[in-house]
This record gives sequence, C-alpha cells and structure tokens, in this order.
Amino acid sequence: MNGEMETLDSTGHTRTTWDSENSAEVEAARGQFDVLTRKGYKAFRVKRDGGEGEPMKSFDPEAEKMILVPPLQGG
Amino acid sequence: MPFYYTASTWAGAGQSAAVTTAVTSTLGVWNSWIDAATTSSTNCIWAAWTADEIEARRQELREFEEKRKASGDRASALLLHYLDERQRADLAAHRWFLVDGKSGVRYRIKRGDLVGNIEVLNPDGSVRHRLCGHDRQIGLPLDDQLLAQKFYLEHHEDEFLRIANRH
Repeated sequence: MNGEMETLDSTGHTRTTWDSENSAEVEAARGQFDVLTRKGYKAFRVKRDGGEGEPMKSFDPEAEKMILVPPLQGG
Repeated sequence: MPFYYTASTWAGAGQSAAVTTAVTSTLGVWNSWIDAATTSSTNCIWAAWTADEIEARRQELREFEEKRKASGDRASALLLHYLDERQRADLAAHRWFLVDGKSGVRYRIKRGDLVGNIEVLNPDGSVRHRLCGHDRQIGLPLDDQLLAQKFYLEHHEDEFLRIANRH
C-alpha cells in the first residue's frame, strides 16, 4: 500500500510518499514526521478525497494520507 | 535605481576611488546623482546600476513572482481539496468559509488580510469577536494559512483559542 504525507510549506506543500512494504521508505517518512512533530507541527490523518481528518500523535505507515501543519502563533 | 555603498563596500566591490562632491543634503545628493551618475557624501556613495545589473534584478524579480504564484496556486488547490462543497461555494462567492469547532462554536475564516481574519460567530450569525493566529515562521502562502487555521479550529480548538490574539 502506498502512503502519502503532505507538509504545508512556503512552496504550497511538499508531498512525501512511501510504499508500506519498503522499510527504507517507511523509515525516511517516519523520520520526517518525527522531526516535524517535535518542532510543533500538527499531524492529521485524512482521506485521499479530502474528507474529514483526525489528529494523530505518531507516524502510521498504513495511513492512507496525512497532512502536517506548522505551528500557528498569535498575530 | 541606485545601489548604496559605504566606502568599504565600494572598495570591496573592486571599485576605484569614488567621485566625490561637496553635497550634504539628501535632495542635493539625488540631484547630483542624476546629473553625474555617481555622488557621495563624506563616507558613502550612490552608484548607478549597469544595464546588465538592472536586467539581472528584473530577472530575479520575475523568478520570485513566478515562484510566488506557483506556491499560491498549489496552496489554493490543496485548500479546495480539503473544503466540502458548501465551503468551496462560500469561498468562491464571499471569500470566506465556515468551520465548526468541537465546542459547537462556528467560525468564519476570511480570505484576504490575515490580521484578525477569523470571526467568532454568535448563534445568530453576528460577530462576537475576531481572532488572529497564523504561521509566522515558514512563510506559508495565504491559502495554506487558511487550511492550517481550519485544521486547528476543527481539531485543536482550545489550543488555537489560547494562542490566537483576540480583536
């Protein structure tokens, strides 16, 4: 199964994909997820069709799709 | 357009001795620069860009604008992907969309100036107050900012209310 993670950034977003059967790809995606969530990014499990999301605390290689949102601050 | 050089940066740029004038007022410096191409006060110098330099700056600006437009387009596409049909219609018609927090409070996220762009609505639809909370580090395009606000309000409402400034 192929997983997908979209990280909001200055380019609009960056898409990371992995094959859940490929341990190297999974670990690379997990590493990225961990680095960003430690920086305060919020992670959400979402559906490919854009349907309702739900917060997630840890990387799930079986997740169909995730989105990572940078920390917001008072303006 | 002129560059501004101090004496040291002028020398560092490989230039020979600066043309100097006795002009000390700002207006005088500009007039003199226009007349003589270069002028200086006691310790700085204005120098005209060459045609190549002007073209290089124009090219940089064009590339910057292209990247900015591309990132804005990508953000818009992503935002639309995560909005439902009603939200997409409201955004197209009114430049805002509604989001419901888990508390039952309804928020109106407005596209435009990010300052206080979230309206907290009363049950009758009137505006209770405004909230301001957005990315200030990554440089997200506008529609990514709106998408981030949507996810925060839907799933981390209490945290967002703590960090957002109230207007």
